Amino acid sequence: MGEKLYNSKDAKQKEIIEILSKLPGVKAPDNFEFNLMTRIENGSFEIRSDQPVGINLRWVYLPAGAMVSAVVLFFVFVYQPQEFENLLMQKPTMRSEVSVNKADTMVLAQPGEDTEILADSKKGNDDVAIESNVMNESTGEYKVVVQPNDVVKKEKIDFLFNNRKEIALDNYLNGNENNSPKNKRGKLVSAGDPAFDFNGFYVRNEKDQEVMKRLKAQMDSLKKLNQQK
Amino acid sequence: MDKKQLSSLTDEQLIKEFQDNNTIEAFELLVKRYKDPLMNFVYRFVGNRDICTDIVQDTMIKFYLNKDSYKSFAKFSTWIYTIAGNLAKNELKRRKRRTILSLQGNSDEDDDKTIQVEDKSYFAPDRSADSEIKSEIIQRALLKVKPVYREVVILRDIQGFSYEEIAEITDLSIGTVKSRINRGRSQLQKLLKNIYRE
Repeated sequence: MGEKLYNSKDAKQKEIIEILSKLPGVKAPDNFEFNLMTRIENGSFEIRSDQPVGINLRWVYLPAGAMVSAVVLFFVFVYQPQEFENLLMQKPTMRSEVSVNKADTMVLAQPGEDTEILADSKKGNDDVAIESNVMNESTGEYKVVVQPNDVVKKEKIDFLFNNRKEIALDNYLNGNENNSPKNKRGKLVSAGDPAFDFNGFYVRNEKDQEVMKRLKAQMDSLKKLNQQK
Repeated sequence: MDKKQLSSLTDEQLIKEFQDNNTIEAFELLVKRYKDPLMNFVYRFVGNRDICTDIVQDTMIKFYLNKDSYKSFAKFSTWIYTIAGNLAKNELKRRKRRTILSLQGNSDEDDDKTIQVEDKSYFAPDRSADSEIKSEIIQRALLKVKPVYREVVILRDIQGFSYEEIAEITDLSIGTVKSRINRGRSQLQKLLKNIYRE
């Protein structure tokens, strides 16, 4: 420990230097050496760590840990990615791409053609057929049905909508059944029936009074004849 | 080598003896020589007597365990002060972090801030109450100075080391040591202006 040599700066701070130099010295406790040697002999060299340790950061990490756990649990248990497609966001399918398969029919739809097949509800289940090539004729829609005995048949398709974009309401109300004319309902609109012709309104004619009197007189004379007999 | 012969040896000779022959008496002599200066240094730096005692004990244990890391070209005093200084700085850092992270307010810090009244048995009995108060105020002011400045001021003005020795202890350049001492003293002057005018 060297001597104090005051330079010019030291001289300016002479007072503070004197105050510090006059501070009473602090001495080690009496048992310092005894304690030290005891520690050495016992081999207890647990030095206050050089590294600033003992920092309890658990409480610092607690909110972050809870947040991470919550996010993980959310994705594991709550969040299910939508597997179904939103129909409103879907691109509409072309009519030509729509085909309906019945379990007992095989439809061969050829791309590019105006093909549309509806399940034939009239056809019985016994008639297992292969339908193909819907033919578009001027009068309506037809389909080629290959029957089990290899007979090819052309059948008309009854669409709910016809070419004129009208609803076949009469057919719908009659249940698409072939009733006898007596039981048949009156045609309401006759939409979808190309044979329907409008004949105009029915005009009721009043009977002539004289003709009526004459007919009544004839009836009365005939009644009298029968009574005389 | 008996105790009388050992006591006539310099610090560097004693540690050489301890290194070469593992002479525990040489170690004990060095402890005896340095325990009080180190206590004074660490106490002025840390401001807590119990912690100070622990630090000095740890310094001696480090010295005991790492005696071979001392190289003969260095002064023993600077080497042992470096160890003590590092331990004291670590203690300050640890205390600072504990204060920041403490959820229970700064009750520990409050305890640390209270000035430790020195054991009167260590001082001359004729010491006046006035000087006691003064020394407490000075100690309190010293603890308010930044640790980097405080260390060098203590080493220079209380422990009486030269600039070169302080540079060696703190591993700083002499210029840095001088400027830090100057700043430390200036801070102390501001804090103690009422005292040294009396």
